[in-house]
Amino acid sequence: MKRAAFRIMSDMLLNNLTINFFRNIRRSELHFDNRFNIFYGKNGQGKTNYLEAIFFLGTLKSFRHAKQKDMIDWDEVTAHLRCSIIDNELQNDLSISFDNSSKILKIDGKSSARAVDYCHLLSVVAFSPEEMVMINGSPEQRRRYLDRAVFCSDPGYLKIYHDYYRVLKQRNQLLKLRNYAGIEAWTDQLANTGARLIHKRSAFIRELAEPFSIYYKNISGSDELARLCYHNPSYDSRFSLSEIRDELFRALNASSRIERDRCATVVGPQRDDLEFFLNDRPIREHGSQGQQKSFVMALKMAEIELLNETSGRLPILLLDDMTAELDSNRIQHLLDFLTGRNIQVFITTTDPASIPLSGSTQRASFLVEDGRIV
Amino acid sequence: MLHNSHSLTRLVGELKKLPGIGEKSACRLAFHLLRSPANIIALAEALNEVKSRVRFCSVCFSITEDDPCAICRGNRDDSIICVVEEPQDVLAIERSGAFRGKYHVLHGVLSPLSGITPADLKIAQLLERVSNSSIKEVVIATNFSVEGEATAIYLTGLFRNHGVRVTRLAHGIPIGSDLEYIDSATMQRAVQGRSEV
Repeated sequence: MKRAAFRIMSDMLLNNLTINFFRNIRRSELHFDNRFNIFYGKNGQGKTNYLEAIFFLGTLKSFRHAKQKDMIDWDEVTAHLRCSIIDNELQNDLSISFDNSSKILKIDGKSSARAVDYCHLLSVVAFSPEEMVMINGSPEQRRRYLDRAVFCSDPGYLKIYHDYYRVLKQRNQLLKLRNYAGIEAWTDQLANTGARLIHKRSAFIRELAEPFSIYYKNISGSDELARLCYHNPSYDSRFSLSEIRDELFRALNASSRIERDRCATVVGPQRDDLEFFLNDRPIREHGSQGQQKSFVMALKMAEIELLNETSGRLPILLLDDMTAELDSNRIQHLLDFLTGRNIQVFITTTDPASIPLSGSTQRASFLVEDGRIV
Repeated sequence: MLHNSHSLTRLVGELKKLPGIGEKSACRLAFHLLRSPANIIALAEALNEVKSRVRFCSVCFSITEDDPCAICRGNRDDSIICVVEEPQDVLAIERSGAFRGKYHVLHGVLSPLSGITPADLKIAQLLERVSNSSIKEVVIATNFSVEGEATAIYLTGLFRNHGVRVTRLAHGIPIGSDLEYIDSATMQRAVQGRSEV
């Protein structure tokens, strides 16, 4: 996938969406507004399923981390999603048909085998209650977030990522079998690929840091200082690629006795974590629900900003149940920000009145009942 | 379909073992052969001949009919040796005509997940060749996969104290290709590995 050669502010637009047999949506055809699209209705009606369908079209993943099998209507074998997008005045039709284990991707009616090529057509950033695991969840969940975000802004990251985990698996196999013949070569290779991974991750976090703290202030309407850092105990993120490599190599060699005891590699980016601070205190223990939610929201906004800077594109934004736990001030700040940018937004809520868009703001509203738009 | 001919079933079964051949292709090939008896005999003879005559060279472990192979016996540069994964790789480099030294085929790459360690490759033989001859340079031409790179690193380590020069094939943008079609991973490596002109 090529990056945009020029920095044009092209707003990504999702024009229409056709859904067949996706979760509780048997058949639905929607036309969207260029700005705000609001799905409202009672709990359990399938509002989020619409956002999930859009997210799946863009990323081939579910933001709920659901398996394909869970996203197909119970009475059906195959689900179909189709949409048309406009990016930089170019219209593309994307479609996905999938069953339990496989999926067929088409771009403008033509089969496209490579997910990498497909995934960059519709850029999506999602914010859902599930994202709060970023703060409360495991390091693995934070790494998953980080890896996906880095990949979105840098397609070359995928190869670096796969290479590292392949080497790690090969090396762990030697440790598991307690057969150390040739392990030095794998250690060396692990340090090389691992350093590239760490370098990309930490560079991304460094770039994210500034817009992030600004967005946090905007959304929270406070002076609190929000900070995130890519935490790795064995080196400093300001190091160059070769310094990171040497440091990782040293750490691997220093831990050789422990890893032989545990039969697995014990240092490296597969164990790294992201740390979140508010006024220099870990937000996990010290932040309120509202602060934590604003925090994750600011992270998403910074991600959008960065994506726009590196690729010249503005992704579409999905906000699942965003009004829950955010006070009206914070919601207002967020909407002001979104109205000011040319971002197409998709929101789910139980109460459309809780979304204080000004009367002149363009929008489309969809009442969802039992999977259908009524 | 084939239940009335045991030998045809067997042929289809054998063909199916070949890479890239499934049930349908195997059937098609089998029926094609049946229709042309001359071909079937020629094929059988060719297979037999390959089996009886082709073997690995005892020096470089490439495929040959005469041991040692023509390249090992030939008038080539003795001071430089190119290490490859498979015999096909020798053919690929020979086609280019760019290399005038000798070869050594490892018959695989390090891959603990597939149970392949240094002892499973022709590495000891390579070490012996380098120690007992006038070789000055070892060119490592394993593939640029994760496993190929690890093998290259392993070999580099082995030769560190042998007083030979160890080199690796360059990688980057293919000749005659348009920059705009290069995937981003290759492009990133090409930019990192750029050289002075």
